[in-house]
Amino acid sequence: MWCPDWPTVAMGVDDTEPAAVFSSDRVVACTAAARSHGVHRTQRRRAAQGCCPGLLVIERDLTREFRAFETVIAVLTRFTPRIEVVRPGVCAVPALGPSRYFGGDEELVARVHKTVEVEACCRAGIADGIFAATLAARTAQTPQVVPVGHSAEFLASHTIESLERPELTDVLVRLGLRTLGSFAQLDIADVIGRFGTVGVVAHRLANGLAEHPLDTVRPDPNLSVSIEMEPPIERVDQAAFLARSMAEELRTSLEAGGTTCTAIAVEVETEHGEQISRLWRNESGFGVAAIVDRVRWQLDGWMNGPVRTRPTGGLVRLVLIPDELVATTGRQLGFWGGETEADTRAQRGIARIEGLMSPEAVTMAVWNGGRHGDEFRLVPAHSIDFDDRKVTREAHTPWPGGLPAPMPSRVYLTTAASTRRRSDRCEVTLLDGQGNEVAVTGRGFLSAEPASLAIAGRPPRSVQFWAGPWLVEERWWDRDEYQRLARVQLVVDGNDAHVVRRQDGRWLLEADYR
Amino acid sequence: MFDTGEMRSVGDLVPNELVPNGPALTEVGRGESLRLATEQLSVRADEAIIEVSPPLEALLPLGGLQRGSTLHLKGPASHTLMFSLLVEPTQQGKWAVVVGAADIGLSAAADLGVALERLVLVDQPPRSAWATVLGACIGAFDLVIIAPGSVNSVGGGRRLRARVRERGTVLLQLDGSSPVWGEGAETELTVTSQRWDGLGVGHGHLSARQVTVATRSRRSGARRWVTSLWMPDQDGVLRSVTENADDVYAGADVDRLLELEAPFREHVS
Repeated sequence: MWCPDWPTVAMGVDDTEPAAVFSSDRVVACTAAARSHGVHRTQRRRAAQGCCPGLLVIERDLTREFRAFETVIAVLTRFTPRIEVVRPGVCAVPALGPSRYFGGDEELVARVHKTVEVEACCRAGIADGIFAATLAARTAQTPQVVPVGHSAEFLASHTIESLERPELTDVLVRLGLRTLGSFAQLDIADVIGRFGTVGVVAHRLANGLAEHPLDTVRPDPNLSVSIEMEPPIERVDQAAFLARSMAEELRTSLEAGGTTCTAIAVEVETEHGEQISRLWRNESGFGVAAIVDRVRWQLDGWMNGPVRTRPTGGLVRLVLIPDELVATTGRQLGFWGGETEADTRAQRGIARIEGLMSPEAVTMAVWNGGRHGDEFRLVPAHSIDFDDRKVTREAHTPWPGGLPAPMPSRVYLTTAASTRRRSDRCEVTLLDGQGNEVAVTGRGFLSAEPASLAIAGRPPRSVQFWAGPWLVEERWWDRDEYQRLARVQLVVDGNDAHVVRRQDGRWLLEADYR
Repeated sequence: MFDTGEMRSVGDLVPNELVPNGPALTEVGRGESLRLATEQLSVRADEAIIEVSPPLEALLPLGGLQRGSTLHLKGPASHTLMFSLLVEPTQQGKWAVVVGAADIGLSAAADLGVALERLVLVDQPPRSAWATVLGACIGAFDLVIIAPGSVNSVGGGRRLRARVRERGTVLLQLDGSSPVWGEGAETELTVTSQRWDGLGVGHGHLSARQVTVATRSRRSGARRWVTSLWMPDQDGVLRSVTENADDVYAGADVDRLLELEAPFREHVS
């Protein structure tokens, strides 16, 4: 079952309006109107805006997508209790049981389609595996059924790009293998030899098989992790905090067995006995952060969803049940790489502080580049992948016009936008020997030698050494970001060093060397 | 150009308290304190001292940051001193969190060598949440730095101190008149003077800074000693002043300092 352009639908955008949802500067989804202008997935933002100047740019919000998708899942639960959520917009249902009950595959898929269509525009397909079924849903306007055992034939004519593994398909296209059928005909031994595990998985998919061979042994029920909450908890972030330690526990026990889980069931129960259980699937395996995200999404969709399905009491029980295990392959090296005990503790601490304050209150640095003390930008810690992270200055990207080293240890003003927006920016008074304000001339000189500096209400201190003005004029092509300023470096009485800037006819304190 | 007006504030110390080359601990004294510290720690007793960069060893009573201890950093170069103390620990895989100072210069920290991938910043918590947030930080990070701003004290100071000792965290406060946990810090590092090089009148740019840091530690019987450091020197490196014969400003030797300084002052005036 596939809902087209779900990220835009979840954002409440009308399909006739050109809009696109972006994640890290790439299009992840766009409306039909935008598509008719030539916008497509994986396009860069600037290119997309070039195709369609009136494009509405939306930042991706996975939580919201899942919350919206919860209504669709709720409808599907009328057909079968076992629903696997692959990603927002796509979910899978094992069809064997329901189709017998509803009288055949055709009948089932038509019913599902009709029922879900009430909630959202959707397409449905039935085939032997999730991959083939998704393709079946995507390629036809009306519900499509691929007969049992004919998935390989159905897939054969599709392009190799449908695998969505660009690093592999690029090579295959260059080898002349343009369809799934031609790739499927290769001998499995050759595929292993040439492309390794990634190739084997792709080969299985192209042959209409599941990504991993079916394991007839159910995972050990003792592997599931559960927690009883006393007193009941009311908030999603509290539950997510508990889920993190549970996920850690689960990971440890799975790792001991050399396995990783590709499907996990999350069950929650409230004090009034209401239950919700969802099965989440991720073919590349779940890491701790991924499990916590699923718990958060599931609870958010339930607790903040439509009033009629919302739970009436606090949560008392949370269970994580691994539903499908596969052997850990090479690409799944631990979940966070070679981390130490200190890393684990710190990451847990970050989650806890986020819960106490807000997710945006805890930040970490990433390289950004800039000339206003914003060489390193702060981003919310929860959006950071801690795996093998290294934050250093990228020496190959020079920023002429930046301050010379050593850098100031406190920076009050960074980008142009922050200069205008920040209410707590600190105005200073820079006077010459006669008590007149020092100005910067049109030719880029100071009108007089600075003699005293007074920082926001504090008594003036005499300037001992100074240099400047250093002029910066940047982003003339962008009205909001454009700025023109002159900087002066000063050492005042008492040997305190400051950088002040002249901008829009005022002197502002930019940075301190504390 | 070298005004060391504040340098004389060091002079109010009795000369025999000023010990060249840092801590006045004899080798025996140092060993005893180490053993004591190790015995007191219940958590992570294998590593009672977090190492710092070699030039900073002279600042600290045990030659490193003792787990479970509290420090107070004050004076005009407190932020740079804090970064300098973080360099070695973060590079060795320790995590640090800074609470309440979102305006710290990350570039300055990176240039000194702080591993930013293990530095977390937390916004100023609301006044009522300070103690809870601090409690969470102490449990999770090896080094907790707080910049309390206008907050003078947080509730439950005694519990926080106990938690610091129990978890083996190092708690540092940046600036502020007194520690927010309601009791004097075990070690107090005060930058008593600083002197900039490289900036002239209308020319040049700041290039190097020499600071004098006074240490007062409860462990060494409230004795004070001073250390001079390049923070950083012309090459952007943290270096102790006495290491090099070219550095005439031997921080501990105040008399010699004043004597050397005299011709400079004449020159400037």
